[in-house]
Amino acid sequence: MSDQLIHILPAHVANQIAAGEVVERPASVVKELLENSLDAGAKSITVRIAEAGKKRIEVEDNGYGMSAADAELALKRHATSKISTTEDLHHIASHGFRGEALPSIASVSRFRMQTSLQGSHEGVELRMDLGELETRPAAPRKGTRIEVLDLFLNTPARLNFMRTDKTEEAAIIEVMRGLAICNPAVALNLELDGRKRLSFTEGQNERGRVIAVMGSEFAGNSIEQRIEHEGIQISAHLGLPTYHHRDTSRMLFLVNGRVIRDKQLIAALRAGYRDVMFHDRYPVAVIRLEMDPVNVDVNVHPAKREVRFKSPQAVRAAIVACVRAGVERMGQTVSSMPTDQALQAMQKTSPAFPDAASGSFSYQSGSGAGFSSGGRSKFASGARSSNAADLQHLLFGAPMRESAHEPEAGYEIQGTLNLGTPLAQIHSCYILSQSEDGVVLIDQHAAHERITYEKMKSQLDRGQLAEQIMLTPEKWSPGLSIAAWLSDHAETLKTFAVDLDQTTEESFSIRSVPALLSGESPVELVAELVDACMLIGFEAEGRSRVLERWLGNRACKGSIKAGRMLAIEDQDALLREMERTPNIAQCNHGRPTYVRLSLNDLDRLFGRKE
Amino acid sequence: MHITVPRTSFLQHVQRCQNIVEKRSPNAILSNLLLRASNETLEIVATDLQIGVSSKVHIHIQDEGEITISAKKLFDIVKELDVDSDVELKTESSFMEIKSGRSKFRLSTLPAIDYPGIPEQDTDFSIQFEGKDLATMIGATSFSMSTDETRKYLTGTLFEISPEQGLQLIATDGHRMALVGTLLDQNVEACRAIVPRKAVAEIKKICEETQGQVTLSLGKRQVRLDAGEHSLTSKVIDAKFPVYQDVIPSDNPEEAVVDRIRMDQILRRSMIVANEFTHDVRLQFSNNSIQVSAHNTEQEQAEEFVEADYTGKDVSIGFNGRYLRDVLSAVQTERVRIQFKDELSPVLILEDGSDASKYVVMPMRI
Ligand SMILES: Nc1ncnc2c1ncn2[C@@H]1O[C@H](COP(=O)(O)OP(=O)(O)OP(=O)(O)O)[C@@H](O)[C@H]1O
Ligand SMILES: [Mg+2]
Repeated sequence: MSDQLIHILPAHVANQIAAGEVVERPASVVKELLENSLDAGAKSITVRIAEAGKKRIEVEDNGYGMSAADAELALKRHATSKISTTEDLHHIASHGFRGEALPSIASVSRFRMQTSLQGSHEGVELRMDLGELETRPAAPRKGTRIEVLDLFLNTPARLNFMRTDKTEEAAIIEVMRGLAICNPAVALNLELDGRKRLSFTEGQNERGRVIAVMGSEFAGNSIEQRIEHEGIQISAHLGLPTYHHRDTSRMLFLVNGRVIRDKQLIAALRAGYRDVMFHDRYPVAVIRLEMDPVNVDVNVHPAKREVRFKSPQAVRAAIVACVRAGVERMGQTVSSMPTDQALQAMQKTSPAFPDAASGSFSYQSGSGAGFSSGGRSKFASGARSSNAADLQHLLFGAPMRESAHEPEAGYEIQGTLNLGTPLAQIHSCYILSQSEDGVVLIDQHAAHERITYEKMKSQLDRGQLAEQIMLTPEKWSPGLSIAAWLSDHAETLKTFAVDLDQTTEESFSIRSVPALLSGESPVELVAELVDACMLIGFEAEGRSRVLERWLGNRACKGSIKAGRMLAIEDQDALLREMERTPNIAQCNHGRPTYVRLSLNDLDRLFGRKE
Repeated sequence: MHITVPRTSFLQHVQRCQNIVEKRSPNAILSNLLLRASNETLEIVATDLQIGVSSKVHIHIQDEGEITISAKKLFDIVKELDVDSDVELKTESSFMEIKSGRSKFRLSTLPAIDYPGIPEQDTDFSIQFEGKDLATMIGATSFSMSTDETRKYLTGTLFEISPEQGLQLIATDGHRMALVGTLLDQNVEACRAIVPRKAVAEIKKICEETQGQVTLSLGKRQVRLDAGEHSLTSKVIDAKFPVYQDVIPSDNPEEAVVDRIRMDQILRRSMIVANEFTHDVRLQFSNNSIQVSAHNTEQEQAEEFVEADYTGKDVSIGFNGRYLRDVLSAVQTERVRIQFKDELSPVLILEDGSDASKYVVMPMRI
């Protein structure tokens, strides 16, 4: 036996190990190849998939290509044209920089590449079959064409982990949509087993591409908001608060041109909406962040799905500020969805449901669940309902349906709200009002709830938090990690009127609570607060979370209940009050407070117009 | 079963029982009352599985028997019947026929055999007590119970019997505590039970309606009240009540004595401009007076002086005004004594001339 045990791994073994990290599934191959094409300045890229990518993945671009020598080098590990020094690593502007993708992919498939350098009169064709490279001259071409055949043929374990074809295809579509939004001007086409599945045209602007990807319904239910905050540029496409979703799958974050999935970014987006959306609903939005590459480390995840910010607080603050600014602008606008639903219900025609996959996002690898549109079945039968409860559910209680239905009803983004003159109260729940261009239906309870909430909030913004001292201090044993955090942050809790005494290493006694919340369980209250502080690290945020939790409860309890008769003067007063209230478009559970039907809608309803 | 009952007393008993029936019980039979006729007595029983109430009326029985019937419907019907006529109840297969004057109803029934019934008496010790007095004691403490279900032990009132202190009721929500006590002229054993909020309220109602003495029995798992024709049995809250003796300050150096009604009126006025949710008011004790002040975030203010017997140092304490007013309306005497140490320590409020009732209120830092 030789006394030397350590040796350098053969290249193809090293490549396979790297492939384990970079190449998880067909969608990862598509992502790497697309990114290479984009880095090569392609203006148009076509992806062809056979058998969900297990059989064949082909990517053809019109970028600047490679010379024969470069092409051969590209298949070597750590071969890249994109960076050369450590210094470069801090200013990465391209998608790729690791020089790992091609060799990794080639090590777990049968790999074919045809390319020629822009302006050159010769081309090259490379074949790599399990480490065996074969090169031969070929006709010159515009750009590069890569084929990946029989993916994972030599790593059966991977192959076994493959999900159903549908799931793998879904993941590929997600990857393409993400990159499509990052590169609005580039034409992107996807064919699945010979059928066209996606096609984004060349030369689109950002908004156009966002809508092409998110679905045309998003166009009418979102606004664009740009801000700059501490050197971070944000351009956001924000869904209306009443246009929400059941999970995070319809949020998309781009950081310096990369699609990033990040808990903190999601939390920041939700924090921005928190005031206007019920806690178990999620915003629909595309957020593009641009910042100095020095301030963001992209080299933390092999597939580059994650990044590390130099100042996560600044990023969070920027997102929250952007969303708040946007929400303020759309404060009084209700999503056109309820109107559409109302029309559909009244027309007694089944709403047309689009292909389920349109306009949905999900970047959790392997999930693909973002493609189904939950909540849909509730509406499939929406057409028959005529009684009050059904109508209420349909108009005011509805989670948003994903549909590509073109909303015709316009809505004002800014400008003063005019809810018209009340005509009658319907079933002691709703107010019917005539406006300049049609009618408005108002949910009296939801409207009043929001009015109360906004009032109390403005009162509290100006006040100090009064602190109720406990007569019998409550014991609390939150566990070691929280205890450790607390010993460093005891002062933070003081600002929320919470006074803690550490009694042992892991347990505390709660000596005071905010007087506003003195009726609630002290332990739950403090635990929730600490949770919020640890997660967010923002003192002011935690403070407002405490207030909002309480306010939400109180506002709801103190509001006019559905079922109360209102005199016409009271109805009028409520409408006028609504017009003066910020964020009036939804109650603090995120349900809309009013629905408009324009004359145009009514004309359509009665068939006077198409 | 076939019986005839005078409408007025029947209504009273049905009402007494239907009070505790859960309006929306998932178990259908629990929204029913059990009627049991035997030995010239009609017994009406209701339970929500925590509390059981039974009422007995002496009546004429044609046919003995037992059956259960919707509490709400029975109550709503009997309420509407002619005041002076008798009510005749008769079971007909799975229905019950109710007749009075010219009215006749048929209600569906469920068999009595499925009814959970009231648990057997399981208490350790009983005392006799004037019903009206017990109602008053409950009224003077129950406002301090908590509604926070995560701290079960605070959601009831502690009933405690001891040879030294007699009967004491104690309630606290963690911010304030109320204790009232009366000495007993019977030989007693020490025992205690935390009685849940709903049972406390029902015991109070029964006591209010009772002329004369009631019997209160406490046990480890059960509390029971027997008051004439009515009896109530309730599970107790099986938890540890805070050691209330430790909470009552014993050495508060300062004392101010003030007119109860005046003080209450001033608080009521001041609270108009206090924060409408926390009701924070400030009491400034200085020579022979207390200044009550309040303000809210809209910069509105109130300020008023009240005379008081006070000669101690100047102290200013913040309170939830509601807590103070609750105490002032529970106390009976013309004047009250307010004992305190500083702005952060527990404050003790006592009746003038008696230490039997003790109210502790924790200040607020405002
Ligand atoms: N479609 C393409 N057109 C032109 N050049 C390409 C193309 N694909 C790859 N290349 C060249 O091959 C090199 C290696 O590609 P590879 O994807 O392996 O590494 P990378 O993109 O530099 O880094 P990463 O591993 O982070 O993707 C690239 O640096 C680039 O010069
Ligand atoms: Mg690459």
